[in-house]
Amino acid sequence: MGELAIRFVAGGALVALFAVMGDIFTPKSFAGLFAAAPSVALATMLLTLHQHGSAYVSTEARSMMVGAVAFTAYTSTVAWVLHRGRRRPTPVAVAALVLWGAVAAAGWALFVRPL
Amino acid sequence: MKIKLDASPLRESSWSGHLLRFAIGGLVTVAVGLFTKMTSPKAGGLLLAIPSIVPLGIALLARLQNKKAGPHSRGDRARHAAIIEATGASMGTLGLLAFAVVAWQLLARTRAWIALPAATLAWAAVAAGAWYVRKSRGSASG
Repeated sequence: MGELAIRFVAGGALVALFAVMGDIFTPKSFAGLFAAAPSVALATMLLTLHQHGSAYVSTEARSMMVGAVAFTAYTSTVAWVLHRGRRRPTPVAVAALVLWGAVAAAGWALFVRPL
Repeated sequence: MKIKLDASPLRESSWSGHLLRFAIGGLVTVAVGLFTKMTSPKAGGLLLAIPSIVPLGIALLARLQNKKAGPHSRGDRARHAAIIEATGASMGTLGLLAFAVVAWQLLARTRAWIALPAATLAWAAVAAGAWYVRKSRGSASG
């Protein structure tokens, strides 16, 4: 239970910190970089290192490459869909999470699982 | 275009928005930890690049922009801001890929206190570099 609480606080603090950095930078296209900051990754890796060591975290980082490619597909699709039509941003951003899952799952099946 | 620091948006943002980001960030980090424990580091690693905070960030941005907009530009202003946010985030994801590559390579070869700061620097350098290239080609707005 204590470990989960530490994960919650560390992850929440890093996400909130990068979000505040995104709030204070201009131009806003630059501030958008912080929406894809490695906040969850850093919190998870720092806490996992103590328990499992570098080799374990290195394996996580290798799989993270596939997640990052899926993240690129996600944000590019959100921008493209909003650019093409008069759609409301929030439903588009939520619905496109399915695409992230699909690309990550395909990457898992093709590249990560066989390793 | 110059990159500047401007703290005034912090006065416009609400505490509930910051608390929501904290709570979602914390919950996602816990969920990633539990999922990795139940499966493997190979499977859990995928979730280290989950766009957990983007939908909430876009929702908060759209709400703020709709509040600022006049009656004739309500939806348009929010959508335009969301496009800029998502386009910027796309550049950030290239940095995230660099973060993963550097962390994967260096964690296997050197100490973690060198590997993780180096990976974070790689994220910042690649994300900012991608943003600059896109901006200098004139294809990004904002």
